[in-house]
Amino acid sequence: MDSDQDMAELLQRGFRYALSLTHDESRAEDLLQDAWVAVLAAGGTSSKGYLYAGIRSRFIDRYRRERLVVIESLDAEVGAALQARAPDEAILADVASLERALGSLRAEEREALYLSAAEGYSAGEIAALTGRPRGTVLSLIHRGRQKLLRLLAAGNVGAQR
Amino acid sequence: MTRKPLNDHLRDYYQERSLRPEVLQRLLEVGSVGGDKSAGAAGRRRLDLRKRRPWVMMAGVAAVIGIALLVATIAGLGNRPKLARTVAREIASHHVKQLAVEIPARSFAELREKMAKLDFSMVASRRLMALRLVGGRYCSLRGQIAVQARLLDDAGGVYTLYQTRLTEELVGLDGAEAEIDGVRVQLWQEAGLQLGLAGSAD
Repeated sequence: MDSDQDMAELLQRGFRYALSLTHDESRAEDLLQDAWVAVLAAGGTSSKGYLYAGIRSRFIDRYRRERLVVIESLDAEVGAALQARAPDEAILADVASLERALGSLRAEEREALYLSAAEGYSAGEIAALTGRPRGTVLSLIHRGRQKLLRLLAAGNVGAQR
Repeated sequence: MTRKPLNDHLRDYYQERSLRPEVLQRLLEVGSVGGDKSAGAAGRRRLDLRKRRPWVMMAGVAAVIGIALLVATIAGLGNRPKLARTVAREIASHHVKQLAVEIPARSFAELREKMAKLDFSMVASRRLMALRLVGGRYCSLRGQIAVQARLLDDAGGVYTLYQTRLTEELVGLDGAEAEIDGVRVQLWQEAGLQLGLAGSAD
């Protein structure tokens, strides 16, 4: 296994990824702990992909088992149209507003945004990790961004009144 | 409040979140047991033995109660997904109708006070913290009295919330979620109540 520093970094990243799914620190810790033990039981690999996959599958088992319908309505054409990245303009936001806005997103949208914006994954890499079509990943990112921008803009207008 | 690209806001938000030091330390200790297959079992034992949260014991008690409830409702479990879909569809159809708010209220406490006919005490769920209550009306869900409340988010999005007493029939619906004709419906249970929240799926 790697050094403690490498392991600590991997665990912190795993925690943040779990947090992107749950939006709840306590649940994120639980997911990470279970996935970490499974990683060790499987031979102690320090692969980030392996840990993330373990976190993801546990999230689905634990919190999404009851999900009835998963709507992935965006097709490849829409996904392709979103490939051209929109300009990332500077916006005003504080942590509390961002946290509230993130809480309004679907877990899939938060996950895609986290992997894209915070981890720097490409849409293809996110597709490989999550098992979704690339077009769907692009649309999740696009939808998530639009929702966040809308909510943050509305919050700012309210705050300035 | 700072001005920067959304991606930077997101990166910084998550970068500032980290594992509690004591949890990180425990996981590192488990990891340092070794890379062989026995490490997982050893780690599991250690994690089981840790006093990670006081509510773990309470969760055990709750699990026993949960099992009792499960046994009591085992006959209905086979129909649970169908029932959840039926309830979600009922909530979605009422949400689309956007019936008038008959009892204006700014808080659940105020609404509770004004809706004296309810045979339960509605809750201000933490899940609704980002939403603003407008008011409510009496209605029914699965044939029993319920409250139908309207809430708004910061962007003006409209949500319809249902609360009714948790019955045996509804016990298995905690955590269900559905999207029906563009309406996203979430079902969950707390404080002895069944809750359902409908809003636009977009």
